[in-house]
Amino acid sequence: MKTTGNALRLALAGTLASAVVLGGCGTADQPRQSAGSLTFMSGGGAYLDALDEAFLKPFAKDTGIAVHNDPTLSYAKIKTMVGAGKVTIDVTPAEGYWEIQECGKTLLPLDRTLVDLSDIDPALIQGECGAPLLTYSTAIYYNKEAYPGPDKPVGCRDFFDTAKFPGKRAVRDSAVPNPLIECALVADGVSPDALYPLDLDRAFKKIATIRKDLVFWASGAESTQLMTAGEVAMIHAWNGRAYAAIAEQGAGFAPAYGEAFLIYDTLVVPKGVRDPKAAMKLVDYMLDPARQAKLTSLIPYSPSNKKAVLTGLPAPLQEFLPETNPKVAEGVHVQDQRWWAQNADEVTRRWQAMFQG
Amino acid sequence: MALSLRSVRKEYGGQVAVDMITLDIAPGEFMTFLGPSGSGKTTTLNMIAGFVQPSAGEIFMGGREISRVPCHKRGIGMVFQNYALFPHMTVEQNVAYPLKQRKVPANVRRERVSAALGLVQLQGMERRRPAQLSGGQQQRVALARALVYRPPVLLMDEPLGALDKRLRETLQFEIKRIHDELGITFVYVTHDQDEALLLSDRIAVFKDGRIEQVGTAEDLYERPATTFVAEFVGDSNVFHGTLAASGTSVRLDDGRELRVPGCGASSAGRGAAVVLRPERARVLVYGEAAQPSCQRLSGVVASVHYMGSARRIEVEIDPRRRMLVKEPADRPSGVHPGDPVDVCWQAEDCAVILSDEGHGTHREPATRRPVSAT
Amino acid sequence: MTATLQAERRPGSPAPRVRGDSSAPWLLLLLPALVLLALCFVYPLARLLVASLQDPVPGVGNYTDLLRSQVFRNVLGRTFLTSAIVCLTCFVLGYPYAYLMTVVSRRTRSLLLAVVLIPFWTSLMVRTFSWLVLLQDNGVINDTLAALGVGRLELVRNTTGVTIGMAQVMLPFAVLPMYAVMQKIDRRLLRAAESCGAKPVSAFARIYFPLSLPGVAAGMSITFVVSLGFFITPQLLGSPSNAMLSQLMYTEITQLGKWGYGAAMGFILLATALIILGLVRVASRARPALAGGAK
Ligand SMILES: Nc1ncnc2c1ncn2[C@@H]1O[C@H](COP(=O)(O)OP(=O)(O)O)[C@@H](O)[C@H]1O
Ligand SMILES: [Mg+2]
Repeated sequence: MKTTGNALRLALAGTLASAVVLGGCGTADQPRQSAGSLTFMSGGGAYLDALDEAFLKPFAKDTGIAVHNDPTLSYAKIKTMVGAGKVTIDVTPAEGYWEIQECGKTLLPLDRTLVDLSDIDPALIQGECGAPLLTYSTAIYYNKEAYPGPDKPVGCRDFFDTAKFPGKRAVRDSAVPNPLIECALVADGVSPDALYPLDLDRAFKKIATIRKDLVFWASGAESTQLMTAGEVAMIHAWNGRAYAAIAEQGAGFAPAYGEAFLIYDTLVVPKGVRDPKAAMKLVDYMLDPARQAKLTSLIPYSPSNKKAVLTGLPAPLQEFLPETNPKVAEGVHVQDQRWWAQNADEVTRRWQAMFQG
Repeated sequence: MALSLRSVRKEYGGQVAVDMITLDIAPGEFMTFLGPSGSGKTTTLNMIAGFVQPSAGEIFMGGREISRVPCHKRGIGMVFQNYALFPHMTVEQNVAYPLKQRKVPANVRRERVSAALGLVQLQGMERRRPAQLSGGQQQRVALARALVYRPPVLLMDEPLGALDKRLRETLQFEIKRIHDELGITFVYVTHDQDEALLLSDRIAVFKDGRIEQVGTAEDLYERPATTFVAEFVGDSNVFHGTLAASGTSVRLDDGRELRVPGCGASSAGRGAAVVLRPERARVLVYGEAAQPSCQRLSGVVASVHYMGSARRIEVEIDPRRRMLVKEPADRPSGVHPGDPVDVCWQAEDCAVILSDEGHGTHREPATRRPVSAT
Repeated sequence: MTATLQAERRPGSPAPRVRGDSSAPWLLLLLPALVLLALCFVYPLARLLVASLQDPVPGVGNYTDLLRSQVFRNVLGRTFLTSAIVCLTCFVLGYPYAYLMTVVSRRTRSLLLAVVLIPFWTSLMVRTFSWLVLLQDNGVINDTLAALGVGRLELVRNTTGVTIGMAQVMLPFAVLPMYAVMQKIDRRLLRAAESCGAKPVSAFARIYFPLSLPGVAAGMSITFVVSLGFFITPQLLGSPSNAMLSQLMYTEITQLGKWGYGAAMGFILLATALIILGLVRVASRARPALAGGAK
């Protein structure tokens, strides 16, 4: 009898404790959103540090509205929050194709009375729910040791010409929105101005020709690593990462200056935020040309605002940005996120069938 | 089969576990290694079995030197204190295991297993697992497993150590019976002197890695070669002194003189220990008449214990010496603690151990309490 | 049983276990764990099951689509194959390691334990990246091999790399259960076997190994099941053709927002894993040694 009582008491206490722990799990996110404050969600790391310094801290100082950071960016999480009606974040940068996919479903349309897009590069304004924040491009860089002769790879044609330029090529290990598709079509003779709608049959057929020479990187850091270790002959990499590898870490790579494909991060506000107006205000604040120029001095991304004046950038960085290097600007084509938003599923299926199946 | 150890020695990192043991065991003999814990019995047995390599010396089995032969090729049977049955095998599989190793055909195997289980009276348990057996049953299985391939030599290391007294006695008789039935050489390790006396043809008494004495139970009891043997095998009263010129008495350190069976005058002046078994002495109420040939010491009864078969009486001779006497319990003792008494015995019932004869003689102070039964 | 044998049964010897009221209150102690399990595991799992049958349209469409998909079937098969390879690698490396731990001195054992637990002390990301640097074509290992005249080997961005990376993470899960069982095996049984005429190798194979099997089964089950869910390691150390199911699920759920489809993948993986584990259990029942021989 005695043991029964003890066991019961222990069991009850334990159950209660676990319930408390669980209750804690469920509510941990809630108190963050106090009145007069916003929560900004991002992937964290150097990107967050730069955004914080260029925009979030100044915004809090200028408006008195504190901005909390949530460094656990995940599209699935945002969708879950909106679906459950418990939205604890206000603003987040998203990829263009996703903004278009989710516009009206998960995301609020931009309030154009609060967000001024007039100075933003019109080529970037592809959806109704996003305010383009910054751009970066996927370009071709080659290993100087792999091609010591006078003939250097220039663009997509050379990237796909393994006879003339033998060696492994590294590309991003993700189907959407991988500009390898666009690059394949250009290599196959399609004019960069007449790419969309992308001919997927043709693109994947072209990719199949270099299939066995392809190596994949899963993260920006890994692409840098491939360059610094000289593991590949050519790479399709983001310009900011190439700058880090070549200029900062001395990787023996050089830009090919041919076709490059530009994508952008765009600021979005999920449906169901407590104070949409305040969120929109933060979005607008982040489009300011001076602050965007400041961001570029902190992290190698280009501004979306045409009026942003990039001054005082280190010379090596200037080489990698289309705004400061005409040779780069010449090759840059903006990727059509509307096409990608509609065809993400189809590209993924084909991509998986070719590489993962 | 005969076993023979020649100057066998085992060291563990400079520590001597077994020191220059030389011993001959006759074919069919029941030899017991008796000694306190840590005296080197197991190590010696393991060298015979082949689990341990001697640091020096030779071991012969049937005339063949085997100290470099690996264990599994020696064909010696072994029974361990913890039974060491294979827990994942049935009784039958355990007993059949040595036969399988020898590639005995299945039909022969079945017969031999059945015969071995019959020998240890365990028929009907074939399908059980060791965990489903009692300790005594497990040790029977172990015995059957060690005997099933008819080894010429069976080694047993304290096989009954984990069993209770009743069971131990039952199994002692069975082991004895099996030895008589099979007629093979048994080497048996124990620290229990009663067990050793009961089972063995001969006993080797171990101490500190050496053999103190080898002999029959009677040799050890009646003619202990050292005071250690005298005290380890049975109870005894030991008096240390010097052999007098006559050779027929020993002068104790306190000046008393004890008559002893003649040792010859040639040994006169040597250190000597007088050993008297407690059942060879009698307690006389103070002043009671006794035979004139009786050697007597006066004292006071310190304690009287009734032990069933005997009565143990402790007598304080002087504050530094007590004597132990065992009297048959069938007659009333007539003495009580505090009574002044005489302890009395016949000189020829004593044994004399000359101290610098043989090795390992006691060098402790002469005054000791009588050794009580171990 | 004869009377003599009956008399020999000692008090401590096994008797039928008494199941009675006395154990009932202590079962209540499981309650907190059960509540935690129900709320943190069963509930989300049920939600996922519902999603897999509801999203985007009600029905079993997600399941039929998946089972028709060649890519899914291939990746599912590969997920199990990779886990099996990792499992086997962990056994080959872990078994001798665990055995070694049972025979060395206390100090050496702590050291061996620390070495095998290192993976727990560093972040998975950092560790995986370190493997990349070590194993890549111009990495330390290949430079050494080249200097030795062996030539460079492809150690990463393939199954080799994935196996190495995953095996390192999983090794403790394989070693610890095996060590726990081995450490309880009475080594004197080996001597007993040798005295029965068994060669040392045979004694190990027929006596020690069967007794260690419960540990092997436990270690291998954990290794296998946990390996099924790997994500970062195969992505970084493998190529897309090493992709495991969790990578596919990630793409579906986070990139394409297809919750139902991703959830259905998870359920097929779970079901297949349970079936395999069930089969292992049945097999180990059939072999009594696995069911628990070591005392
Ligand atoms: N493997 C070993 N390593 C070191 N010393 C040992 C080893 N085995 C036995 N000894 C030592 O050898 C001596 C004799 O041991 P043992 O033969 O087991 O004695 P017994 O069986 O008579 O109790 C003891 O002092 C013991 O500590
Ligand atoms: Mg011993």
